[in-house]
Amino acid sequence: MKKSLILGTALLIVILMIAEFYLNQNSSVDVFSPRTLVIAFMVLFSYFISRSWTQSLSIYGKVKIIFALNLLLGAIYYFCALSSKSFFDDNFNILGFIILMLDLTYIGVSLRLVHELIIVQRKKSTTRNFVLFLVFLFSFSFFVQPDQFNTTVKPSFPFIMGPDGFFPSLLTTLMIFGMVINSFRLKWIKFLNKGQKIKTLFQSSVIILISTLLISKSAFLADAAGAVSFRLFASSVFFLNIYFSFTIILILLYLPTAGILDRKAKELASLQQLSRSMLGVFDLNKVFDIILQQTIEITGSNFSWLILKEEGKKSFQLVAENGMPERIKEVFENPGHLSVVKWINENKNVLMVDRIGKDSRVSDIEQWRHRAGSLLAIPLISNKKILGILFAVKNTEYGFVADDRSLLAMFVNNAAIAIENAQLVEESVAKEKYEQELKVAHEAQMKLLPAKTPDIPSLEISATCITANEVGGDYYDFFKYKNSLGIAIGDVSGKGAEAAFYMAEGKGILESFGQINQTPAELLSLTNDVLYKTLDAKTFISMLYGVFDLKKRVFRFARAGHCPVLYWSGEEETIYLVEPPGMALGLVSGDIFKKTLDQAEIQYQKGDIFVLCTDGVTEAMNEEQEEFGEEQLCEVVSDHFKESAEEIQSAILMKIQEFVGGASQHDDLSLMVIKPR
Amino acid sequence: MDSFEVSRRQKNEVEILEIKGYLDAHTAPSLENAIQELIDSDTYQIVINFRDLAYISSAGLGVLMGFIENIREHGGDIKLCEMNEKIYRVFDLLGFPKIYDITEKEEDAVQKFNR
Repeated sequence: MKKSLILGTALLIVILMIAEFYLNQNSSVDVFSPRTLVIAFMVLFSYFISRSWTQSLSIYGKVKIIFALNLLLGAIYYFCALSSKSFFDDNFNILGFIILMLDLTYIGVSLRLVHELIIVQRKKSTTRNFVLFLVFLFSFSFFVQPDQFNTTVKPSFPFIMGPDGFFPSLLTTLMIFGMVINSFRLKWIKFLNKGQKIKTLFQSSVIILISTLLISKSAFLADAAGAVSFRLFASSVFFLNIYFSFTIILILLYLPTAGILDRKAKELASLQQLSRSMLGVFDLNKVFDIILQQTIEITGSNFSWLILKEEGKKSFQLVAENGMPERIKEVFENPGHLSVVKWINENKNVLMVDRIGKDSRVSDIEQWRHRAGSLLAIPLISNKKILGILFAVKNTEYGFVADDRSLLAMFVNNAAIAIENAQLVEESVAKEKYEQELKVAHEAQMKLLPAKTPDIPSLEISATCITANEVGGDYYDFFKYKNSLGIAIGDVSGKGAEAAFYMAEGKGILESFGQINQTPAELLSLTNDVLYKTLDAKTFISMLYGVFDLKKRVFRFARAGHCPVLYWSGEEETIYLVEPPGMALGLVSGDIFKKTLDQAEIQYQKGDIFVLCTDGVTEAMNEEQEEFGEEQLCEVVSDHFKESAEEIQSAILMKIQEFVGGASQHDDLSLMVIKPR
Repeated sequence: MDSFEVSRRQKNEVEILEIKGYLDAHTAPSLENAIQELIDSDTYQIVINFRDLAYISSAGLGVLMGFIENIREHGGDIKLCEMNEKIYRVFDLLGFPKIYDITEKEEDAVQKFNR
């Protein structure tokens, strides 16, 4: 449809052109004279060639170029008109020719630029309409011969080609129709910001003014280059006038709302920028900075700040601020009790306060009074929980509008996600660090444990430590002396590297003091003296230290807050839990410790069994979170008393395994079975 | 999986912390925060009610040790009450009854402050 219309029109024009040419062979009609061909070429050339660079211009840039060319041409005309009034009188002169070329270039480039303005947000018909208009414009210029220019044309068929004929009237009508149709294509205006609209308004007025002057001054073209160029120039400039008149009208209609449109565009742009930039940032403080900066930009606030609920804590804390006055900052350092925070906590909704000084919901902040204004407070919600609250304040009352509220609410959703992301990353980094520490601690713990059990002819010994994923701080050791064997088993209350460190300290103390002939109670007291000074307040060590006198066959031990010794008397076939009093190491100072600590002594013989363990054995938990307990431990020993130390140990471990089932081990588990031979 | 909760109430100017669930190395920080909050508000008379506590690990005991010195320096104390047998056993083994007042009834613990 479109193509056929263009082709049809072009064909009609060619036929008419040929008709005109042949029918008026003898007349001086200048349709195909070199001059008119140069004119047509110049306009079309500049129209097509300028395409390569006009496309890259911004919308406002295009308007500016038209304005600049218009101004330039106006200046040249003014200069030439002043310097020589008779200049254009000659039939042909070089300056006249140059000005003619400039005129034609101006038309070509301007039409190109207007073309591109017109096709902003084009519809299917847009380009076709403009091309048709150009065809009409050229046809009008080349074929319609109004007689006021006194040309010698005598059309053969005056009805068709003559000044009053059907053809010129039709072409003129079509051209003007095309001008008007295309002048309605002004979609580009809405892409200008407010400032650009005002400038365009001014420039359009100047273009209209200068163009009108140009038309009146360019009548010389009719003489200098023939009527064709004048008609082409005049009608093009006329079109520009119409087009920019429409532009002015539309801008005037748009202008009152231009500011709002601008703001919306800015807001959306900054939101997009935010989602891009924020989600890629995993440094929490940077995320906070971006959020506050954007909040200020979106709403045009004077300052903003953010309070967050810290993980594991119930109260809010000020985590970041932007431009916040010191006195208000002090109030929000500990904001939990403020009515605005309570209000949001209860309502889980946005709070917009038009007049800070007059609103009861924020009246408990005395510091507002110095500079009243308006406030917007938005909760950051994730999984129905309030992560924090974003505040924005303007120094003017009624500063926020409903739009600010909805835009910021949308933005805050993104912000909550970004904060959660960053928190997760921070957590996983911390977790990795923690796991690394555990690994080191675990290795240290393993090195502190004896590589193998000592070889004592009169004692069958089996010992093991099964560590939980997280180091629980279990420790056991053997100290071989002449005619005696010292054994220690303990549990540090801390975890990780710290526990391993204290464990090493305890081992060092036992080793150095153990050399001196001392009772277990004395040795533990000495150990407590040292540890009480070095352990931090939170940490303590439960420990059992005992000595097997291999000659007298006596087991003498003291218990510093540790699990009791399980003693199986082979003779009586009875189990005893031997639990002399004593407090854990590092809890109390030397005197109290010594007073409470007591020793136990057991005369042992072949067939007896000693089981020493840490709380990881008795507190081993199953999935129902029940504990293994001392009773079950005793049962296993009584059931297996005839077996070797190693077999008894495996039986205990098996029983624990059976009991625990699928539950994960939460604490270290150490077990020592000693059976005299 | 293992949950732990601290709630706070007041009785005769004594702050009572009720602890519930599993107190181990993972949950110890929330008890720590709760006690720290009391200290921050100059409250040094504290009773911890163990009625609903199912398990305590050495890290949980460590929390009490971490504050007791400071609290006693300010003339206050942490008193413990309503422990079940299993938990009392843990305290007893380590010798904690020598350091803390442990009562069966909450009232008695509160009474000890008001005396």
